[in-house]
Amino acid sequence: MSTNQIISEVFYSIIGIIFILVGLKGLRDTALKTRITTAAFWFILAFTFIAGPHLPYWITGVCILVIAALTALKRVEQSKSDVPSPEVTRKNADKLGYKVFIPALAIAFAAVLAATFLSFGANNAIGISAVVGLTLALIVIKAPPKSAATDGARLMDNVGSLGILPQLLAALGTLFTAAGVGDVISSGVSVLVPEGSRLVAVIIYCLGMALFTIIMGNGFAAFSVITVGIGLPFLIAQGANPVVVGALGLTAGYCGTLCTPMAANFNIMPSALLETNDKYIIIKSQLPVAAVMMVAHILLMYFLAF
Amino acid sequence: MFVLTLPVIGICERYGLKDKAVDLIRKAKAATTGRVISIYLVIRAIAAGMSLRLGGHPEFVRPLINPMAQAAAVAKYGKLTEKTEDEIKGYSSANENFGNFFAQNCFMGSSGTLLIVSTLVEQGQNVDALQIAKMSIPIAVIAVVVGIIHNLLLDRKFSGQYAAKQGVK
Repeated sequence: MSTNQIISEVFYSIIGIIFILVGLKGLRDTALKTRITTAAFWFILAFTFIAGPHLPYWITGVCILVIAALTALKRVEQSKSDVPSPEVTRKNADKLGYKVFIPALAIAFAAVLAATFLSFGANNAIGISAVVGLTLALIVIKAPPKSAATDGARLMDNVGSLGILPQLLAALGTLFTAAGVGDVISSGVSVLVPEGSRLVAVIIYCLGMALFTIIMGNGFAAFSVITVGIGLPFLIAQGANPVVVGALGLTAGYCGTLCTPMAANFNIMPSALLETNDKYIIIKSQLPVAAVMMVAHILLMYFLAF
Repeated sequence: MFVLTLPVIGICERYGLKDKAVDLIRKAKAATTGRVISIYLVIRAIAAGMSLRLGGHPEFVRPLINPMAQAAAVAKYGKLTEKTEDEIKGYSSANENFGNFFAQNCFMGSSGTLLIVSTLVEQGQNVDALQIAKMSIPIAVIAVVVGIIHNLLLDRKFSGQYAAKQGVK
């Protein structure tokens, strides 16, 4: 194992410990009906993160199937957390002032610096930035170290199973390739794309991302399918810069998110929260911007990628 | 890997991160609805790009941005029609989404950025999170500019509508 791999194994083990803390928090919450399955979800997840590299693939596969089944059957719920009350945060805010931003901002800067100047890889840079942020939080805010555990577990539980979605979806993309779904999409699309027309390929990829997102309500799921089916064969294989295609591809999908009632937590639930007369007023306010942004994506991708 | 940043963000929240952001926005004395919402868009986008979990319809838009934007319009035009109130609510919520969606990938550890990296790497492309985060900056800036223009056009629409109404009186 190289040094970088060892470092990332250490970070993954720490992530595993955070998962275990969330699981323990669930187990202790006797009011939670699904506490056993909820805890099982987090413990299995922690197991794959900590023991992952030493396991045969089939065991990891079984773990993921169990996790997916628990999530699909809605046996995983948020347990009771030690949520700081508004009075507490207000009092702390008045005492600390704007210093409270320092550790949080430090994460973003430290990540970029570590990725640029250290040779541990971009992935480890994020872990390093978290260490920097935590150190500053303990020094500047003078938070007790215990807070790192309680507040970390609280937020992780909040993010919940959605937090591991990116990794599952990336695997889904591989699955699509293996099953040949990408080939089916690309042979269908190849009818539409005239040989060598880069602009048409860019337009189809960006619109495809948006349309698929409108249907699924989620840009993440669309990304792995459309990128494997259209982005790779018609753009990247034709010499487009993969960084540009990837970065702009996902946000092109978000143009679709702005237009769809399927993305209820962004577009529909807030209108209930604000007690609007027109349930679709948020989507209506977003449509013109979504259209302009779509054009901006197409132009930007066309000029930057080639 | 973004999981590792959660303890820090959690501690900052406990020690008043959101409260200070509210203070910051309250200080902004913007005269019009469009400007109030635009200031929020800028702050929201910067926060998203820095991985600060600042926004949210329940935490910011409902208690803070929408009331401030409504108040700015009332100060200017007096009583508002229900349609105007709805439009302001729509724009307030929409800008939360604009800032959140288009700026979040500027942070290397955001889940979107990591999805892009892992999808492309699984397909044999050699990309890393820093490259993706940097390449996400242009579209974030464009989104903020487009959003601000859209908000300022709302101001113009209101002043046209309410000027016409007063003319009829």
